[in-house]
Amino acid sequence: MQDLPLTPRVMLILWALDAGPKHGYRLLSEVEELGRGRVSIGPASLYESIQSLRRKGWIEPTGAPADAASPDRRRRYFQLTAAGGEILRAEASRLSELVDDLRARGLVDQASAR
Amino acid sequence: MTRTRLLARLCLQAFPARQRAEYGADLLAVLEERLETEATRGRLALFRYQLRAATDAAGVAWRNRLWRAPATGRTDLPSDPPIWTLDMLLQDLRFGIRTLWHHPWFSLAIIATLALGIGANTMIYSAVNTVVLNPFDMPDPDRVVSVGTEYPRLGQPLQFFEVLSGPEYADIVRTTQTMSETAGFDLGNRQVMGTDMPQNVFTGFWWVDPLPVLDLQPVVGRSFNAEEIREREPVAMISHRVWLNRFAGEMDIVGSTIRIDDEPYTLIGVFPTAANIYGTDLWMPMWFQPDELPRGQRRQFNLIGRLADGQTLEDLNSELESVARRAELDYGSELPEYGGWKLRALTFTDAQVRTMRPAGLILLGAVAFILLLVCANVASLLLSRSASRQREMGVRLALGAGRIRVLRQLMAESIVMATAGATLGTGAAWFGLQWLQANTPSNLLPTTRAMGINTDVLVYTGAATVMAALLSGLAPAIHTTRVDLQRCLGSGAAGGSRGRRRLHSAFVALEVAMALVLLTGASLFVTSLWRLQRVDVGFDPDNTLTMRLTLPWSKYEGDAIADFFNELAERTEAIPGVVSASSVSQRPPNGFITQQFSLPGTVVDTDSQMPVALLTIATNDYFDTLGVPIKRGRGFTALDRAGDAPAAVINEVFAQRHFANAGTEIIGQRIKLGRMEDENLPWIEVVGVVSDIRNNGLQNGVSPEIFVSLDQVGGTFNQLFLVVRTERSPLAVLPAVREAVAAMDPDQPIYAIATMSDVMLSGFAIEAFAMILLAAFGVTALVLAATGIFGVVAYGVSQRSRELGVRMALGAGSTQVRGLVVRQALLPIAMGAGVGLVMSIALGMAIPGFLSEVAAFEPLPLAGVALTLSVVALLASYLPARRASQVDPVEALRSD
Repeated sequence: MQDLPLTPRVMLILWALDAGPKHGYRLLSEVEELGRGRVSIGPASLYESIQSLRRKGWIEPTGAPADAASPDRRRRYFQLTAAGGEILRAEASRLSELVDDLRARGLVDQASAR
Repeated sequence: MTRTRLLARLCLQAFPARQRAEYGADLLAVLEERLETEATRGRLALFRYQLRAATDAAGVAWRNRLWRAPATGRTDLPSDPPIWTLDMLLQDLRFGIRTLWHHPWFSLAIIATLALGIGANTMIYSAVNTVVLNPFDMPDPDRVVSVGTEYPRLGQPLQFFEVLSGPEYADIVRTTQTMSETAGFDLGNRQVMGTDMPQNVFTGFWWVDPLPVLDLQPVVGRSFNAEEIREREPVAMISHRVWLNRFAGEMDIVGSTIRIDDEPYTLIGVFPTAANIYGTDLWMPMWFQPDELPRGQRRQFNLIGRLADGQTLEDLNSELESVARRAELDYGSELPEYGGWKLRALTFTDAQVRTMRPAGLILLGAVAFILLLVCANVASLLLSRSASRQREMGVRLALGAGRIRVLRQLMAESIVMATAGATLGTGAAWFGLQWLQANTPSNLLPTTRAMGINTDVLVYTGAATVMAALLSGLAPAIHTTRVDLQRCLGSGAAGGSRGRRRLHSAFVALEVAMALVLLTGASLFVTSLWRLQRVDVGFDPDNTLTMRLTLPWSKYEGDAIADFFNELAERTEAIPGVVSASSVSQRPPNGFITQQFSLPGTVVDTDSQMPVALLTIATNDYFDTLGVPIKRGRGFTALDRAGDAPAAVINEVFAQRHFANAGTEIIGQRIKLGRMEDENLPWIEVVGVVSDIRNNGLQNGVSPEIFVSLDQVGGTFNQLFLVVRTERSPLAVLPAVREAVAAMDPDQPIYAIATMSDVMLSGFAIEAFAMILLAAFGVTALVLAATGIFGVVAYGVSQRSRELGVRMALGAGSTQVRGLVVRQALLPIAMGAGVGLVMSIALGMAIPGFLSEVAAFEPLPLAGVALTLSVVALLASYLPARRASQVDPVEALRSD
């Protein structure tokens, strides 16, 4: 796939949305959590990324889930599309192959690989 | 939380309108929540996040709005790559040419303005490059070095021309390792005879063949071999131009005999034009070896060398330093001038042109300012037109062209215009250079290279063209593409935008500042030259012709020399139009022959402690011819003949310095031209005191000077100036003087022909030349600034005709309208003038000591310049203002 590898930012956004639809702020917090504090996205960049992922057809707007708190209902939620799920999985297996390779060459020690 | 809202709005600016509407509320929510979280971590964290959010937004704005198609909001269109591909460039250029063709007059005005700026830069760069940056056309000019000396003890600064004695030269050649080749030479005049007109030829005398130093080959024949030089054989080489002019470029001259100073010499070769050693046309072996000469005298030799591979100028200079220290150690007691003696090498180019370089660089800087002014003018023209092109731009953007795409298109137009201007300007520069070459004083040019348009120059022109296109095109293009689609397509009206007005004001300020700097520079040069011309030289230099003759020793000896010059003076005086004629060994204002002397009752230990004065040999009428008043006693008369008691005339400075105690008894004091103990030297009696004339350069004070009579020292000196005072134009008598010389000796050439007024200013040829060019630049700058201001104000008035019409309909008088327009133009003018003043003063301080007779800050010229500029600027804004006040309110209100 020519879209691979994904940038860390895109990868994390897709990953965060894989768990279910989210609105902007939740997405932002989730990405930062998944990135273990090493990836941060400014507000403007966030929506820039959202716009570009929508254009690629990997994510799409969706209604608020039924269990959402009432002030959040007005917000715009996004979810992963089928294509988005595919690309996320493709990237994940690419990364895992990469890690396997690295491990085979003894570049990853057991402790840090967990 | 208004600050959050503000920040959110700022962030939203990064997005096109449609996305803004879509994400606006969410982005605000994200920001609010996030800021709340950060706020719990303290104010610093909060502030840091705000800052981050803002810079983040700026980054997105750049990617989102400038890169891609912004105004349409259609980010789904493929975006253009940011740089030109060749295809696109060609397409843009073609389109640019077509667009310009549709507005021929507008385009032509811009092209002509750019041609002026780029052409002037091309011309000056070519001239400066030829004269001071790259004057020598030899391989690796940076490897060829010249050795100079500095005598801190004598207060003598670093000099390179005729500075070494024979043994000093030998020391350097013997002990240094960093030069692979060296050559020492002396300079003088020789007469080449035997053709129609005898010619005085500037000659180099060599201790070593110089061509290997320069890495050049003879054009024809060969150069000297070591034996010819050691045995002082009668062989000679001539320059390429002499070969062409006098021998018609004949190949068979090698081996032929020419007569130099009445002696036969064998021509062995022709040296190339690139071997330009102080403009010598004839090379001969030196007539003695370096070590045969005294160490502390005859410091008249020059040394050039070639740096050995891998050696630098610093290496050579550290070697020279040890040579100088060695000399100080070995000979310091005997030759006190060696105290702190410095030997220093520079590249041959630097050594020759370093005094001219500042003038060249000032000119380059000045002409670059002209280009900036031109760019400001063109930019404000383009800006004025941007209003009428907004609709066109709007349509393009609406049809999906990216902003960068449109920007590129506009820049292509600028490039087309700049290129057309450059072509036109370079053509004009070529003619300008022909003129410059013909009118530059030849003594200003150390080079035999012609000023022309070569690759070097074209590269510079290319760079100037690109700069001009960017500087003049970018700001208006960015402004033009900043279009509000709704407004622009909705109605035909293009209201005056505030952004455009601000840019226009900036251009006006810039132009005024540039013009002020240029005019100030020019005024300093003019002031300097004006003051130099008014320096009281002590005599009347007008209507005086001078020329030099060197009588060959082989033909004239002893009294024959005095007889020749006396007869020549008589014959010259017989010419109609000649008032008086006489001869002198050195002419003011630059005396260079000095002599140590002794006064009765003074005892010195070493020679170097003896006082020094200029020693000048003159014929009887010299003081009359120049018009120098005799203050005491008498001048030379027929009484001062060869056998009579030797007589001297001194100047006032000499009298004050050495005979201050003698009071009225100066006449009759005695001087010995040499050591007191020397019994062979006669005492010379002072018979008169003449008033001071400048004899040490125009910028410097008068030096003590002793005059002796040619009749009494006749045989010792064979090279004199003939000085002729005429009734009218001095050059008119020149043919008759030539005839007089030819009647006495047809083989005798005359040279160094110049009127005394020219001689006076010859030391300032550089300043004079730079002054003319700078004055031209100053006037150009003034015109450019005036047209620029006029254009901007006139445009502003035309944009505001409706508003002004309303004002007048409501009762504003024409005076008030005029005042309004002029007042608004005044602010940028005043700001520009302020900036210009500061820059002028800063520049004046940055180039200290370059100009004679002026200080870095000259209030009067500066005030004059500021006043002139203000008047012109006011006038330039008053004219359109007057037109504005004549607007018919009815007309103005009816228009659209």
